[in-house]
Amino acid sequence: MGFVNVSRRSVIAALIRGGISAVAVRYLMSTAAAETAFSLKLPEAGPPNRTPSFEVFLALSQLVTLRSLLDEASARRMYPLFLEEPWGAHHIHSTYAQLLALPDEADKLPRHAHPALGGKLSKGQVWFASHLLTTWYLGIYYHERTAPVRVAYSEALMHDLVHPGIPQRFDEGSGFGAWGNPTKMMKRT
Amino acid sequence: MGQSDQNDETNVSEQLAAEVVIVGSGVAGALCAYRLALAGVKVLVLEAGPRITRESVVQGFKSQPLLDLSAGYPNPHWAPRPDWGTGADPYIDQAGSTILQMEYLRVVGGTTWQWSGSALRLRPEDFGMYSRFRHGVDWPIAYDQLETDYAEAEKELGVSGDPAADTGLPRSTPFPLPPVPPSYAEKWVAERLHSAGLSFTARPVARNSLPFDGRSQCAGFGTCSPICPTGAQYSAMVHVDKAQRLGVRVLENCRVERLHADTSGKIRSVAFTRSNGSTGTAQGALFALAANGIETPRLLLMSVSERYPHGLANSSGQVGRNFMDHPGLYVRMELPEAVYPGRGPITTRQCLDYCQGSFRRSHAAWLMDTNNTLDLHSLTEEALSRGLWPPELDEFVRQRARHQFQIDAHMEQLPHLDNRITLDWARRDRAGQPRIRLNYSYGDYEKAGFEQIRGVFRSISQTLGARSTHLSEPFAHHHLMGTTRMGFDPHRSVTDAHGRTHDHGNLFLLGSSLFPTVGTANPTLTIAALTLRSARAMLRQLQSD
Ligand SMILES: Cc1cc2nc3c(=O)[nH]c(=O)nc-3n(C[C@H](O)[C@H](O)[C@H](O)COP(=O)(O)OP(=O)(O)OC[C@H]3O[C@@H](n4cnc5c(N)ncnc54)[C@H](O)[C@@H]3O)c2cc1C
Repeated sequence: MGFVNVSRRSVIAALIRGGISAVAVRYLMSTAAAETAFSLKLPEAGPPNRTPSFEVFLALSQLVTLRSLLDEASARRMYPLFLEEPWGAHHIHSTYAQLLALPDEADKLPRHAHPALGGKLSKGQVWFASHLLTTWYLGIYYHERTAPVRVAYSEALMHDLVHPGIPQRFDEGSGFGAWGNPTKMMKRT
Repeated sequence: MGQSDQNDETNVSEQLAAEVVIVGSGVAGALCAYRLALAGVKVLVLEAGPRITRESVVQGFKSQPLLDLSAGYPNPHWAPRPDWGTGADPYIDQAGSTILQMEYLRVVGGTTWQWSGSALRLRPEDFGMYSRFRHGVDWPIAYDQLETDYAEAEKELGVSGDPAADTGLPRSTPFPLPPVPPSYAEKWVAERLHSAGLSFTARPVARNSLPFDGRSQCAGFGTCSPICPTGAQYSAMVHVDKAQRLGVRVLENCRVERLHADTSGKIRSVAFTRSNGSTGTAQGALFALAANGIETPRLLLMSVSERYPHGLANSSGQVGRNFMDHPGLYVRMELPEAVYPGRGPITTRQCLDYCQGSFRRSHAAWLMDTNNTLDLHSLTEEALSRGLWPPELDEFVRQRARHQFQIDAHMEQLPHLDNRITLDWARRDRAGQPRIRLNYSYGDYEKAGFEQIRGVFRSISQTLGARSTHLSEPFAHHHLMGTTRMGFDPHRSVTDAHGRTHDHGNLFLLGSSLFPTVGTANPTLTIAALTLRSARAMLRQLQSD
């Protein structure tokens, strides 16, 4: 399946099909209201005995992080690391397949529920999804089989949460004395 | 044990000479080199570590998965340093009841690459701990005798400060630069604590509040420590560059391994090893060790010979003893209002209310400073460890990030003979040198100080209406002090009041290893002031010899 330009509404609809709660949808609407169209790829999961493609890995990342826009270069650094894990390929495939197969029952999920918490994923799949989430948010890949690996710096999702109100460490300053004022972005709820 | 002097002299491939040979290019070594060169002295600086650039360090931090303050800096095998990040080899073996995770750098320019720039003077009372409070020892000099050197040091480092806020400190000159303005969060906190009787005022910092000395104004990157990306904060590279422009030769990747004394007790040469394994010696009329509070005593202890079985400058047995830091504690609070931390320089405000008083007879003095940094990584990790998922995860981090604030305490510590650096000759570090062993623990004086800090932190948190409060365990401030202390009595101290060793008339020691006691002020401005004083003594000695 190739990339398609889709509207925010259709992405959200796709995510709802993935089992995302109404709260999450409202959140997505509010945080990216300005964003009208972007690329989203929801490829087929493919057969379980085949190595999942990069596109599947990226789409899984989008579903787990609830972000439509993820840095592709970071994803390309993460992809081989996750594949090399024991059960890595299996986890990517099965977690993604399970999310795609979730019935359209967004409203039946508990409030504040993420798909991974909707009781639809196995314990192992939830662990894997949270491992992926940690990597995207911190920008550092942690796994017992190897030393930690920096996979993203500026693109780590935690920065997004406070940027541009809080300058990106090492990358930008706030300008002399500007730190004395409250900041607009931080005021946003 | 180390090799004899004779063995060392045989395989020499390189022979260097200068009037003054300085070991170490941190603020102590570089400032001394610059001052001597201004007076026309031929100076050679031998530096164990490599040259680095600001860009490479910033890139290093961005590409590293490690989060410690040294992660972006080199740690080459020929000039190893403490490393708490990888945990592979901490470099300093800890033998005491308290583990001290201290850091320092071995690069051209030394540890001020990663310092936080706080540039305080000690207080007059700090120089007379024994006569006033019956603890520790007195310094061989008084505040008044160092005042003009403090003023000069403030100009050399470019200190921004507010003389009105610096109460109780006689000053002959204003600060060279106006104070750095506080962040929104610091103002918010200071205003509320003021009404509770705590006074937070401008913290003197070697950080440009205006363009100064060819360096730009602070742009508020907030990464002052581990590195100022623009150079608006002072680092010893300022004086390395100035010294080189005056003809000083700074040899990097050149680790000094021992000093050689002749039969009269004069130092004749130092032996060094280059990063490629080649060796050499450097001769001079005067020598200065400026390798920091751990590496300077280590070099003296490594310089054993038949005549000096306990190392050089050690007839008192004090070399390596009396190690002191400024033990730290912090309180991290979730405040009821959004204060937007994480913007502006690391700290601009301090509270001196607990720095001085008769209580110093019973417990340690301490000072507080506000901490502007936002540890987004830890905050996000906390959210993840609570099992949060987006969008709650995002909301948690956003909310906490807006409301978080930290106050740090720096506490004084008394000199104890048993808090000491020794060498483990049986085990070697990556450079093949005997490993450093640190014996360190807190006494009752410090423990009582910690108790007071915790109490004050709890009431601060109450006053501010914090929703949650985290009190830290004691941590290191990386101030390496006391290990070759100065004094009048050669039996109880290593150097005289000018940093000249009692045992070797042509050997000077520079840096915080000279401090007999430590007060609450961060050490570097005092290092710079004492260095200016030592440089004058060296000049006088060169002229009279
Ligand atoms: C994270 C951090 C924050 C800090 N913040 C502050 C602060 O805000 N305010 C403050 O006052 N202080 C602060 N400090 C302490 C401050 O950095 C030191 O006091 C100061 O850098 C010491 O200067 P120095 O020249 O004595 O030693 P250093 O700067 O450590 O320089 C010593 C030099 O000697 C070299 N050397 C060592 N051994 C040898 C050898 N055998 N041969 C040749 N060369 C050798 C080293 O490579 C190094 O370059 C901080 C320290 C750290 C780690």
